[in-house]
Amino acid sequence: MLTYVTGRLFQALVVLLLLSAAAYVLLGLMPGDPIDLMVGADPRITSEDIARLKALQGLDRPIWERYLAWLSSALAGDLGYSRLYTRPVLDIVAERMPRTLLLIGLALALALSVAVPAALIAARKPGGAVDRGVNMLCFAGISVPPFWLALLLILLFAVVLGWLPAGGTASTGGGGFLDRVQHLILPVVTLAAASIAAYTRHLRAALIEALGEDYVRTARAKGLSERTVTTRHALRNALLPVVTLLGLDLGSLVSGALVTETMFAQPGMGKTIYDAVMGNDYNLALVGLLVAAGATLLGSLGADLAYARLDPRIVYRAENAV
Amino acid sequence: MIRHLGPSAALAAAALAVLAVAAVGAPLVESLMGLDAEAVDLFGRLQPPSPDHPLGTDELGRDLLLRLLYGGRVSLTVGVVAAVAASAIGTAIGLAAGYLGGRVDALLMRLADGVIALPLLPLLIVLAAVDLTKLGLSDDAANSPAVLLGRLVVLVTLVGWPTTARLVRAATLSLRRREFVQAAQALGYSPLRIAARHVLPNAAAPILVATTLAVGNVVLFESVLSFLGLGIRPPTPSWGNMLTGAQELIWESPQLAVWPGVLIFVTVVSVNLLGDALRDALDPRSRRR
Repeated sequence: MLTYVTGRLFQALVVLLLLSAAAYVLLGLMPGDPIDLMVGADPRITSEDIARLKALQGLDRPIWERYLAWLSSALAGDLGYSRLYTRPVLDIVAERMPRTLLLIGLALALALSVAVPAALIAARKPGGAVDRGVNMLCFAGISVPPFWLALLLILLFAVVLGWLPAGGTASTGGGGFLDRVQHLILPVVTLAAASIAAYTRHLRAALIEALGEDYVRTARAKGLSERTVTTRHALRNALLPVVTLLGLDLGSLVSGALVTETMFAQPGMGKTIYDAVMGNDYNLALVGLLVAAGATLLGSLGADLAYARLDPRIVYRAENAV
Repeated sequence: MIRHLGPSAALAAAALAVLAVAAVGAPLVESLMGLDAEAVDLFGRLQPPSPDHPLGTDELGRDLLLRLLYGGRVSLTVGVVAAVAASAIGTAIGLAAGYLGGRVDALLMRLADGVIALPLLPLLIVLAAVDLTKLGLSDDAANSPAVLLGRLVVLVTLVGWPTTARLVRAATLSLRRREFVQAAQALGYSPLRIAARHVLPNAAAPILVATTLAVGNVVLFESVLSFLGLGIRPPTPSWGNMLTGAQELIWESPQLAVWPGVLIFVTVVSVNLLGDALRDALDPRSRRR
């Protein structure tokens, strides 16, 4: 078990290392390096100045040398400065991370609390009217472009009904707890929609399968109520595959957070990454990307471990890890 | 054949056919309406629907319906081309992993898992922001619509292959133990020939399903990238980039935020319904209980 975890962690590290190298090279290919931007800002700059500035910032060295320099200072804890915010990258990440964690946490909670009951009523009568209705809604949920869903929600709840704010974290002048909660509703619903649909579909299939198992027949034969049979016997087993799905789904939740935060003006990591890429803020974009990838990898490892804890039939061994 | 898939799949196929015909026929509609899709009319900005402009006009006074039809050409082309490309790559990788097994299999499937598990959108926006002039392309070439379209197809392909690869690998694993494959092995055929001539044709069903489902995913990725300003760039319309300005204009012109999204949604729902029905029809084991 322990060797399995170290194996997986090692693997995640390798992925992050490869990703950082690839992203470093790619970000170097984004339009306008810092010097270009200075040149654009100051027409009196001469080509000697440019060469001197490039040497000063190390931009005249080959890319792999620059990457190694970046890596060694990053490992020493120095992630550099953000060009957009003129502050250490680490500070910005620490400041923005909680918002994203909050959004994703709430979206996960919402997704599970909708998906479990939805799957339970759908699985009660497979092929029935309710089941088909739930199925159609699930199809809609996995097919709707998240940014368009956000637009529709803004249109309905902010423009037409005027019940909820169209973005931001709080009304001007602070606002109380209730006000902050209101600002969270639309982003969380947008983020959760695709997950609700995915979990419901998987859970429904797993429930129907579990309801056909011998132990369910035994439970029914014992004279247990249908309610006890479904919730205590079938549901508990059907929830297991959903745990793995949670781990796999984290990547799309992080992607979704990028869209949601950008559209609802939420100061989280997703919006930060997007703004950094659009504003040629290399250091911030690179670190943001790595944090997002690292968190996702850790999250899926966590889900796999939880799966092993919940299902004693699963044994992870070191050779499965690599 | 469509009829055997059930009513919802038939409806989905019909919807897709209508969208495709409308996109192909865009120039015809344009001449019938007597309008120019690209004509900017600053005095006729953000007009509500009228007999002249059935869906109204956008922020530059262009006819929304015509923009939607032309946008459909771009979005649907990207969807189909990238899905086929992603499926082709996924099929090759799935065949190699399933047939060769062992370390190759482990490595390729790790790669597929990695692509699925990573947050793709942040990665894609970094890739989409790469300045092609720094790769040696001239300014004009790097910003030409064809190159931008091609780049988008490549990007979406890069993230779209793992689904097909997994399905094809699973099919290959069961096929390679079958007698006809063993017979081919006994005859001393090369692995490449066996994979291409004996395994591949028998894996056609999962490949077809995966390709269909991939179209939906690809259309979604295209729309979100274009929406974020990193895919198809104006003035070339795509359903995604037509929504870019819609958020600021949502108070004045809500119809701008609705129609492009409806078309994306209808396309993706239809493709998903069709793919699901195909899977049920082609694989009796997955049929709904």
